[in-house]
Amino acid sequence: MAAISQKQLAEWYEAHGTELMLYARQWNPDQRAEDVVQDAFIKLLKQRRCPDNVRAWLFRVVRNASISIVRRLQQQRQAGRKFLYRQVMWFESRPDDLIDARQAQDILQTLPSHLCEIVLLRIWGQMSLKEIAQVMNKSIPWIHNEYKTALEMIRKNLEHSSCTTKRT
Amino acid sequence: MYNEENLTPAEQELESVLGQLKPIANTLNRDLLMFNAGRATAGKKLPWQMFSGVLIVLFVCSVLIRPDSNSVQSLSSGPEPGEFQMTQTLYQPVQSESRGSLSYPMLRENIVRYGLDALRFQQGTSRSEPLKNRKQMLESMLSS
Repeated sequence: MAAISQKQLAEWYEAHGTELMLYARQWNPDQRAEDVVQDAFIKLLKQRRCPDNVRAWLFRVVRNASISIVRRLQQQRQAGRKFLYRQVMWFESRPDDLIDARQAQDILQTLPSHLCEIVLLRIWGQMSLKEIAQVMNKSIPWIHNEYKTALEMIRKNLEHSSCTTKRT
Repeated sequence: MYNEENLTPAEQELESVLGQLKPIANTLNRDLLMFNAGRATAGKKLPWQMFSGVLIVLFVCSVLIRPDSNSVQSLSSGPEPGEFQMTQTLYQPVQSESRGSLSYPMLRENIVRYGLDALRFQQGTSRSEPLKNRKQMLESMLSS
């Protein structure tokens, strides 16, 4: 396949930019998420040939870059450095939503990282289980089981928080 | 093929509820992204531009700074044959086959090469002798 033009890049950015930003924010809670996504698109433009599945390729690049950053920060944190992050909202807060945006974000952030990742890819990334398996380099049944586990945990968290709200 | 829809109704409902949440709009500036992407791809071509630029400069230098044709000729041609032979054989003239005598062809060759001075380099002759030998040789040449 031919190399990628800037026009194609702009189209893909319009189509997947927001999803990629949401995906990157689970690891990069500040401006760094934008840098990671931008680097992914620049890396895509530098490819000699277009990847077969551009969307999955972009998510995988964002994932690898984010994990690398997290590991590097963990090493620096172990070395004694402290970082202060500004908490960024993941979702728009709208009155007609059935679930509160802040609450949903809190619940997602309490999930194990791989479960949160699967949910983000599946629901907001609108990826098939096969694509998620490619991005995370796991088997499809494993992804499916973990996704069901994540949904179950979210449901329990939602019930728990609604009970707490009713009591107060 | 794995069945992706293998979810309970409750899970599907939860999925749809969560899916209604709209992610925060992308804060990344599209124009900035395109600018950075263009700059990144332009940077990839920089080595080729540098290489071609160096080639052009070398070509222009080779055209402008050409050595003079005379100097090229002098470099390539080397010394004149006569001069070279003169310097080479100035102190080593063609020797006669036997001392004191010089055959006519060799004598002629020496005279052609070095002129009359060649007569001075005959072996066994002193500074005062050449005139005598020269006279004798001329006489012998005329008599032969």
